[in-house]
Formats: sequence, C-alpha cells, structure tokens
Amino acid sequence: MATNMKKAQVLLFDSLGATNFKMYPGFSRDSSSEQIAGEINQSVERVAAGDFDEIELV
Amino acid sequence: MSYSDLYTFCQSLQVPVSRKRLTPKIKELCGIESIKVYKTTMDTDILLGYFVSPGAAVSVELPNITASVPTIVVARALNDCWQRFVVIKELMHLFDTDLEKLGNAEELEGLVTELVTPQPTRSIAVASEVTAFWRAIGIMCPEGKRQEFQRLRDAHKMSDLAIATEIRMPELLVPSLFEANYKQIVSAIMQ
Repeated sequence: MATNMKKAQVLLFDSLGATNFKMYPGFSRDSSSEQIAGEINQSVERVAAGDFDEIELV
Repeated sequence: MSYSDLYTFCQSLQVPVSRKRLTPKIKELCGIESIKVYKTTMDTDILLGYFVSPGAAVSVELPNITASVPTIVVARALNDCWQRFVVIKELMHLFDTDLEKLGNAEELEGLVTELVTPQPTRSIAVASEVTAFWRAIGIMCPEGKRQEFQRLRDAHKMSDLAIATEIRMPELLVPSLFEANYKQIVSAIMQ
C-alpha cells in the first residue's frame, strides 16, 4: 500500500491546493517512489514546524 | 512571461550570476510578488529539493507555506554550489506553461514513478523537469563566457573544477555546458 504517496497527494493537492509541483531527485538511483514521497512529506512537515533556514534571494 | 527574456537579461551579467540579480527579473517576468526559499533536512540520496505553488485558497493552513506564494525547499546538507543550482533549477518552474504544470494527485504519482523508472517516452511533467534543468544551466553561464571557457577547456588550460568555481555550479554538471548539441538544447528551451 503506497502510504507515503497517498499522504503526499493529500498534503500537496487537498491541503495546499497546489497548482504546480516539481522536484529534484536525489543522488541515488535506487530510491523508490515511496521513499521519495516520504521525503516530500517529512520535509513539508519540517518546514511547517519551523525546522528550516530561510534563504533570502533578494 | 518568457524564459528567453530572462536568458537575454543574463547574457550581460558577470559570473557568478547573482541570484540577487536574477530573482527580481524572474519575479518581474512571471508577475509574482514573493517567493519563499527554505533549506531543511532531507536525505540527499532521495531528494535534493522541490518547487510547490500553493493554490489561492489552501484548505489546511501549514505554517510557512502561504497561499499563492511559490515555495522552494532545498536540502540543507547540500554544499553551496548544489544548493544554488537546485534553487535556480526550481525557480525555472515559474516559467512552466499551463500544460507543464503538475496539479493533481495522479500526475504526482506519474512523475515520481517515471523519475524512478524512466519510460520509453517522457511525460510532459518529466520533460518540464529536463527543460528546467537546462534553463538553469543556460542562465548560469552567459554565452560569451561559455565560449571562453570552452576554448580554455579544449586547450587543457582550465579544469571543470576551475570553471565550476568561477560560475559556482556543481563540478559534476559543468560538462553539460560543453555538450556537442548545447546550442540546439538552448534553442529548444526558449519560449
């Protein structure tokens, strides 16, 4: 059961109503879809929890 | 909005091309007021970063991810050059056409699946990832400078590491600038 993928889908499209999402895969070619979706979920949760450094572009 | 306008703008910039010069131009061309960029913990074997454009009315408020504010998240563990490249590549998705935008659950699963297991033909979503990659390459090194680097590289007077250091791009990606069909690629990514 693709738990992480389902969660990522709900997080991005049901909760955030995302109109576009794109990604840069990691260095390993052995990652699974579930691992990638899990990493998306965890990082969104970290950002929401304030666990980030903001990069000022301007 | 047009990537070709950004590409033209970047031709007059010094290297390393400054994100502080790039960003206002991107915002102007794309008609957006704000972009948020965060670095946080990620397993870089699995994911280096992503771009998300939240809808105008988010149904669940997530702190720090604001409705209608394009947001880029990048892996904290990356070195400066990788972080810079990932952010610039993700910024290029602001130039995605409506057709290229990935905006539903099925398309997300399709994108991730295809990135894990490449398909005989590329989907529009994966093609837009490739386009964004080349668009980032294209603006990080003005063509005049690229040709100068090419001459020096061909004469074995400049290493990929030295070029990477000058333009602040990951060394691994420097050979992309000197692909035999580089000019055709750049021509193909103009819109």
